[in-house]
Amino acid sequence: MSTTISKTELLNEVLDQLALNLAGDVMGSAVVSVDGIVYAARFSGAVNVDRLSAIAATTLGVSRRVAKDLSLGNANETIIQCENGYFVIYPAGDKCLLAVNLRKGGNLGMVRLEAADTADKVSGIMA
Amino acid sequence: MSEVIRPTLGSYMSIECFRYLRFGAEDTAGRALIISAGKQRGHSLKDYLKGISPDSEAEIAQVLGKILGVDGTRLCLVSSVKQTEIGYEVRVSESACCSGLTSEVPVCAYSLGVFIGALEVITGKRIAGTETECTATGLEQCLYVMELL
Repeated sequence: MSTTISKTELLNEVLDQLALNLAGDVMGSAVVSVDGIVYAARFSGAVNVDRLSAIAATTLGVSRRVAKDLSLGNANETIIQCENGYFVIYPAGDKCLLAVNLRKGGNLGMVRLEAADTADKVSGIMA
Repeated sequence: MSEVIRPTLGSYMSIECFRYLRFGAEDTAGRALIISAGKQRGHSLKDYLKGISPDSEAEIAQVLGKILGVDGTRLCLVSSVKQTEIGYEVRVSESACCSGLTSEVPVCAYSLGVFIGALEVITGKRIAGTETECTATGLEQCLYVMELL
């Protein structure tokens, strides 16, 4: 059990670092298994993290299905652009994904750079 | 969920229909959707699971067996629930998800989700679950390994 707790702490540190590097653009983030189980999350208490994690994993599943049916290769990034912000999902290895909620006007280019790095770290922790 | 009102057909439908719904949804959107549905079902059992000690393997198996088994909703037969260093191991047979199917990989996404949800209620903790053995792969029982987070 201590190994898992340690992993959760490491993942939380990675999410905190992501928020720090993106200087106020990140409204929340989570590391979720591809089965929709949340391993670590940094969202406000108003957010139902369990449900959001299941939705993020399902969204990644749909993206992968679209990519496969259209022979587009791997689904590397899924972006939901809304009136008041973005919800972005990145695969993090075979088992997990990284979900990030960005504020309106957030720098998507910087997110791409930081998220790729963060996804690699998550993949390493969960290996 | 609302009450089932079917004067002629009652509460049950064929596993055939369940599987089209389940595998059709999974084929489109992946396993997370199905596991999430199962978890919601597990969470919905909170009134039945009130007061059960997380350390009482036999009581957990007995209560879940009653709810989900031959006298309950007939999702599966619960063989055993055992505590492990990381959480629990749940053994079931005749799962509606997989009985009679053949697969190279475990397929019990819905049943797995139900036990994740139920054990989250009992323990008050988040759980990551994996199916490591499945009847569909030729084994006698399905084994769900639960890790407390």
